[in-house]
Amino acid sequence: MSTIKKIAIIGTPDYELLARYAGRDFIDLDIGSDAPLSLAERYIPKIYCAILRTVVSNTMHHRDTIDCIIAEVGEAKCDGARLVCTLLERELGLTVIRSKQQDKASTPNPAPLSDSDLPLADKLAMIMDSYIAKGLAVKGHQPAREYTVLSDKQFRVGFWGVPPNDFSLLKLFPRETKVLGWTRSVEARVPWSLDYEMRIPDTLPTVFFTQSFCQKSSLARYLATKHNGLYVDMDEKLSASTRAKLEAFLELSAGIKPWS
Amino acid sequence: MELTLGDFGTSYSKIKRGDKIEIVPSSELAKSGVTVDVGTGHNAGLYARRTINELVALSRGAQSIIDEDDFVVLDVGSRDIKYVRIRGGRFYDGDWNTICGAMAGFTIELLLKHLSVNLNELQASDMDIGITCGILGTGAVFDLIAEGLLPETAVSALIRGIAQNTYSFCKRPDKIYLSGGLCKVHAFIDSFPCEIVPVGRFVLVKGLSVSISDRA
Repeated sequence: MSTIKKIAIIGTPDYELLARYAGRDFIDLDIGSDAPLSLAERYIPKIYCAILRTVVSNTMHHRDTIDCIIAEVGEAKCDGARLVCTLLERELGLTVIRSKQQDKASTPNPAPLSDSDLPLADKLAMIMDSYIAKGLAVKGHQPAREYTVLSDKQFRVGFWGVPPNDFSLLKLFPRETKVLGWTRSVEARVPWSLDYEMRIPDTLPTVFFTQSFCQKSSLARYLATKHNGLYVDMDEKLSASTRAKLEAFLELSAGIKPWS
Repeated sequence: MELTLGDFGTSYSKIKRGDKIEIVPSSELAKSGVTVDVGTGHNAGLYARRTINELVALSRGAQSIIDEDDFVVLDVGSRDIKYVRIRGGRFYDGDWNTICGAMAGFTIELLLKHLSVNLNELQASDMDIGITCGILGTGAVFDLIAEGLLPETAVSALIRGIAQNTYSFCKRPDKIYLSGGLCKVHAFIDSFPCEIVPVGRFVLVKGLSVSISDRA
């Protein structure tokens, strides 16, 4: 078993920072693992963003295998991450290398995965995977699956937001779902851009998703109201009620029936 | 043969057999062994062979009984609140406040029993207590009583708070078609700052009938 410790990542740090650690093993602290979320209650409130609770519980659980943390704490992530990093640094004695991306003069890249015909969960997972792979300049990195890029007319619904803590929510959406918001901005390599995050197609019925207790909920709710979309927040797991609400919106606004 | 239909809510269920609709406390259903052909509502999975989404049933039912192309229908249930806005005869937007911020009818019913207050004798309140939800509002009610207010006055203030929350929830329209068990309660209806048109408790059951006809 390797004794070389891993580089832990929070959010989408600057590529230049990631590139310094090319060749090392990485662990993405935002992604759920076998670490119970209740671990995090030692340092942060129970009523808190499930993704940040995941970050804290993962860090505690994997503490002995982590070399250092590279964390995005600027406008590409959230203020909660900035505060949580300080707690982890002080309480767990870990080195935290902070990335603060904001207001970069950068043209968004194309976002073919966001516009692909893949299942929505695969799109989101591949976008997040490819961010790190590209940042590490993994030679010849290609998405694991082949896909077709859809035209705007082919989309039936939009999904705006971050990858949810519970991916089962994504299974309710058809393949003709356009990825919007922060996740799309990650693929376009402008995750700090609020302007890009607020670009919504005029007529596409869109679900605006946030984790419960996330600061992005204000933006999601605002955009949902402005674009007659559906605002959905979810904590740890998809509840039966939230599932029903989503199914109703998909059926009534886009003719997508649960069994279709 | 006509299908049996059911709207299985948290507190009350509405069961349609032929032309007759029966209202049954949901707590009695498990013992009765009832099963219907098509159902909706929070507990529909327990008692219906096929289920239809509540918001879909509300939308279809309202469109079949409201002769307008543009309207808002709001259903205030025991456990949740939901609304649909129709524009140009089509679904425009809607939402469903599932748990947090809802618990409307259930909380009111619990408080009425606990405080021995008669719902039909309550007057609409003019007191703004700014409740976050039914559950947290319960704490505010007990605080008001501790300050010397009559239980009736405190419960009316809670009901006004719930009415105002639901009004904001459905984006403050000029007129609301109100469905659900509270649609005949004056203390609730008179707490809205807009026109309220009660449409009764059977809109979702009507929506089931329409949905079946559409799919036949």
